[in-house]
Amino acid sequence: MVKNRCRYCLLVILLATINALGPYFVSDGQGADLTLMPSLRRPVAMALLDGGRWLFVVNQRSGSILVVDTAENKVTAEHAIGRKLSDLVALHDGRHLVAADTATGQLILLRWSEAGLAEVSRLDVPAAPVALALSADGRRLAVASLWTHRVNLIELLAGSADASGAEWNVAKNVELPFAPRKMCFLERDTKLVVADAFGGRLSVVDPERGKLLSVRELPGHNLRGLALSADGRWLLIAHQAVSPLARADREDIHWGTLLRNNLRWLSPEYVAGEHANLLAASRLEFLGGTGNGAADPAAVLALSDGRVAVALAGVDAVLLSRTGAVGYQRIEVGRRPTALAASAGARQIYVANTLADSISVLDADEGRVVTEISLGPQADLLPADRGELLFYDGRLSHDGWMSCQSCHPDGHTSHQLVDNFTDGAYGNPKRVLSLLGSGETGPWAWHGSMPDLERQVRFSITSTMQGGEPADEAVTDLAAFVRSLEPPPGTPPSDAAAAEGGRKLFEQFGCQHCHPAPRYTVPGVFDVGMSDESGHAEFNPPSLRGVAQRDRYFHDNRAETLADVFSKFRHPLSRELTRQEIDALVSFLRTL
Amino acid sequence: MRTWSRFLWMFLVLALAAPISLGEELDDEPQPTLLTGHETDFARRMFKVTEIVLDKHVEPPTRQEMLLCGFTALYGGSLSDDLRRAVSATATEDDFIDTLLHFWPRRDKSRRPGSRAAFFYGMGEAVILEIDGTTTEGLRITDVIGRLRGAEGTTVTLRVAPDGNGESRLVTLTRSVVPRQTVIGWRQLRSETWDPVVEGDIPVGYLKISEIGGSAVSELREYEAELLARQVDALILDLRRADGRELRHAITLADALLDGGQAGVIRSREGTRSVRLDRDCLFRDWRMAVLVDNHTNGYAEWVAGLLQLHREAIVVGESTSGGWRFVMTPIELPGDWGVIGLATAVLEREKIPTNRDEHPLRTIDENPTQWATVGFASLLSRMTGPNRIAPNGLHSVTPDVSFPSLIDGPHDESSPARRHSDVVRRAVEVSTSLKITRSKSQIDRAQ
Repeated sequence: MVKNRCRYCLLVILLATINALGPYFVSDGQGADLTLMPSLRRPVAMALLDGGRWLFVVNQRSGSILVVDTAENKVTAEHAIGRKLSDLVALHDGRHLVAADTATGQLILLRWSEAGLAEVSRLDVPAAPVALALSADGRRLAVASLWTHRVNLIELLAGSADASGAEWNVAKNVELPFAPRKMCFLERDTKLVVADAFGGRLSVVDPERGKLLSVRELPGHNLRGLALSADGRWLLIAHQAVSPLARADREDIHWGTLLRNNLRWLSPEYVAGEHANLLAASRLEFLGGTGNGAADPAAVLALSDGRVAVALAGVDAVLLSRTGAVGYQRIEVGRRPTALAASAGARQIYVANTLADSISVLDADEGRVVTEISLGPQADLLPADRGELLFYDGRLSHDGWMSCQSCHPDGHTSHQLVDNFTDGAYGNPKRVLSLLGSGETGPWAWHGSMPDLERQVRFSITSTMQGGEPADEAVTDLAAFVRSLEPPPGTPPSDAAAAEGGRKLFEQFGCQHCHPAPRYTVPGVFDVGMSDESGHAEFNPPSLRGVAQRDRYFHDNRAETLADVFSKFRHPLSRELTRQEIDALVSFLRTL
Repeated sequence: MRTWSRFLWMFLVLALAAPISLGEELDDEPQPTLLTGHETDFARRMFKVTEIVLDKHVEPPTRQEMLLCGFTALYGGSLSDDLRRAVSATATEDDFIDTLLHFWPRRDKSRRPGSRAAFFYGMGEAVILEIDGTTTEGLRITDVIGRLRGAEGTTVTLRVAPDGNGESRLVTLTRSVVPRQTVIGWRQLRSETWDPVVEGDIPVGYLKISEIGGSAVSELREYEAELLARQVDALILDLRRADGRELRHAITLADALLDGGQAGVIRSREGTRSVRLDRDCLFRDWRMAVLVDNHTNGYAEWVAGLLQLHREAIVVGESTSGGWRFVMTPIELPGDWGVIGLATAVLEREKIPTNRDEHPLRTIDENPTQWATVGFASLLSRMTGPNRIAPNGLHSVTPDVSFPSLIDGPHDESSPARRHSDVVRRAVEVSTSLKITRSKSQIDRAQ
């Protein structure tokens, strides 16, 4: 036993040392059989090079890139290049790839050659780069940084970065009023559309000037797929929408009234127009149907032949439109498909099954899975890992309409109002609470009606999602996953003195009575002078950790900004604050 | 307003009293009754119900009014002065119970007919005598339904008497989901399958909503996809004889058909709440005609008015009655007394403009030639102006194009089917003649 433990320790030390030395090749298996080590890789993005001969897959959890030989449909190499990779694009020169690492806040430029994949250089970008978009001409790369609410625009002169990385610079930095994720260039690369990572906002940026042109709201949230149709006539957005007018009961879930899974077809002309009606000349498709929900559309792919594919992450399927016919064909793939890529000519579609650690290869003409490529054996799952599988599983809900992810994107909040029964009544839609950091901030639900997280989890499955009674182990695992979610980061203050002044005001006004550090909340409920539609007036104070990452405030979203909390609603103060005091308080709160 | 409350109350009181008073011959003059335990329970129950009404009803009558309504319903208005005085003097719970017991008609349980649940069996109507071996004698309808319902795939065995009498037999049924279409198309192709297109030079979609229920929007979505695939971009939405029981379904339907905005307010005793709709809508930018008649009731009327007001839909048909505006809510009674529906709120569509035209568009259709010569831009301008509120009240809908309904009447010489076809054809004419050329400012309006 002791001997085994020593061996285990040595292995850990060895791996840690290798990791500390920086990028390394686990194996360069080109032309040779590759033995992949057990791991939880979690593929989230793909790119093709050499006319589709090589498929590159970035793994979020393992921080590695896998090289897949598409002729053989097998993994030939794995390169550990980062800590938590989020996206990957292939540059137009056909030799370079750019990967984003959210953990290090870096972009990694890689060169592909016969010798394999080699790192060229790294570039620091604002924290948590989660998505990349390359302009049609290949000269500009957009980087969305989640928690810093920024889009960086990088000029790639001559269409690629050279070996030294000298032409690898951030040219523009655009601040957004929301956390961005998906992006798409429009109008011959003169406009960049940036989608909200959690809510439903859509902004348009002038990439040349680095100027924010518009911010408009779509009726929806979880904007996960963004693509331009092959003919350029449509901007496709795969997303979800929840109606605050509906109830989280059997009937409204069954008929798709509470939560819809949509593919929206917007006119690029109206999207690009700063003041245009975003929905003018648009179409809305409803994915799934009664008895056959389509939870969590996570990616959309516009094929060169005009067809469209949508990954349904919550129900492990891909929808593929039919040539010359109405509707979609539903193709079962691996667990939680989140990324799609098509070969040249759209003959094959690659599907990254994030929680299966596999790639499904679809024959786009025949509409079937040709093969599933394993990305290596999976390591043993801990309770939180098993909980993660359940968190993203739409089959927990009635007919597969939604998963936990549907209202809590990546554990955060959709910022939407949902009329569930947590408060013991319908008719009082309430803002979806963020789960990030919530594992240690009970009681749960707005009115603090759930004394333990497990009870809340069980209630959410059986009532809000109208699913079947979960096993105790499933509840425990889901709770473990929620407890593993860390609170979102605050924002470093631009004016440290103002933030410090805000901290003093925070204490002076007694805010810490309900929001004391370090969790900035307390157990219990308080009447703070506002009530819901049913007259419930006592609320559990939400934690203020990561409060800057929320969009609208209070149980019914009545305050649109943090400043409104104090200026319009005077929470919880009896006197009117000066503009300076409000600015200072907001500055402080944003650091939490 | 009060009239409606009273009217509703008469039904309520009758409904509550029915299990006891059915089948009795009522005397002209109320007679004192014996105070049995059963009757005292009944009186206390009635008092409790009046308490709930006073607490929950949006425009509650007084307790005396409720008593009076009940007695008026029972005695047809021939109430004695004694009774009237007693009702007026009712102040406490004891007063209420004394009055009720004193003046309530005599009950003779032996004369009360046994009630049984009906069962539609073949072409006739049968009576259910037993459910899984339990007699239905004395069961309330809610209990019967509760015993008939169950998980999909399970069975229930009924003893039924095919003609209500005579020999009974056992029938075993397997429970299953019963699909129920609330939206149908123009022509039935086969069971539950409809063609939603009225063919012609310009194909027009035709969808009839028979009931605004929970599935209506889901059904409309499926039809929209089919119509889009068939290149249809004009729709006739038939709301004639449409009805809806639940406000939330009506709101869901309005939300699905309108591009955002405020659909009205719900006024209850707790306050006023706006109904705000999201910006997604079905049949976006389609030309739309809405068929209504004086049987377009309740929430269907509300939806029709919203489509006319906010979606530029042309309403064809007859003025709706405008008679319904209450939001009914099921309220549980204490113990096992069941549930009653109470008007707990009022649904209001829009505020009435002060200078509205009493007959905004009605004259247009009086002369077909005139209708034909009216420019559509002119029509639209009149429709979108401040005169869109129906002349006969806040809640009724006045058609833009008046056309007789299919309801038979002394003047009606054609068959219902023919008249149905006529009104739809007229709607087709209207919907295909619409050329909604939205101005740039409309399209470019800031959100």
